[in-house]
Amino acid sequence: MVAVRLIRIDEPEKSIRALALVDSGADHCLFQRELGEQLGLEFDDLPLVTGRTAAGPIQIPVCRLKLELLGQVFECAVGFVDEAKLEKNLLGREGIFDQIQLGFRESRLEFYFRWEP
Amino acid sequence: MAQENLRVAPRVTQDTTESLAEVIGLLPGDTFRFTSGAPAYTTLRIFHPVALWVKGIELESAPPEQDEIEWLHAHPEVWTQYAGQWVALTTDGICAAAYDVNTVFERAKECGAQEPIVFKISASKGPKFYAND
Repeated sequence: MVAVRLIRIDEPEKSIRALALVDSGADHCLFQRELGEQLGLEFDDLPLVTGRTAAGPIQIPVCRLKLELLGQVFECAVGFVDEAKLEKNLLGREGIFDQIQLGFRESRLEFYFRWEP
Repeated sequence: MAQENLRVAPRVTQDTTESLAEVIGLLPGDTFRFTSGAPAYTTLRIFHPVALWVKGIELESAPPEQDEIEWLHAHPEVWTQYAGQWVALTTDGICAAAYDVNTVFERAKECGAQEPIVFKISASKGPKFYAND
């Protein structure tokens, strides 16, 4: 897990910091809805995408935000899901993995990360 | 992480930053910095369950959350102590905890935390990643 700052594009003074799991198994970036509420997002006004969960499909409001991760800031679409359905915030492939190189060396418990496509 | 703990690996230079093999040739637990300011790989050690920024390009480039993450690594007891709760983490440690996220933000504000890292600690499962100790 890494620390990440979520910043509203339309109101950059509104931001929060959270922990998120870098998850190559996730298609999208998903954060707990409660954090989006702290940013003042109006979920009823956001477009919805259909997400798949073990319990079946769910409708996920998506907002384009700026994310600050390891000192870099970039824009990314972020979906918000009730924390009851999302145990951890996830940094998924879309919007993240196309901007970085990363790798794991499990024997050394190391995680390699580079800001370059 | 204090400056004195930083160990410079002189063989990792601008000429070698393109080579991941050079970077991963460091010993486990090494901290390092590059002898030039060239963009390069950043090594993160995976602790339970938070990745700790070891050192990237230069000390100044370390992200602002480094102190908080290091505190969290040094206090693994918080993962059981606050299981099921939202917590607010600052450089001084957990400044607020509650089962309701709004309460956590309110308490963090009351204790003067400028912008804590707020996250929910799972109540149902143990750590996903384990430390190398």
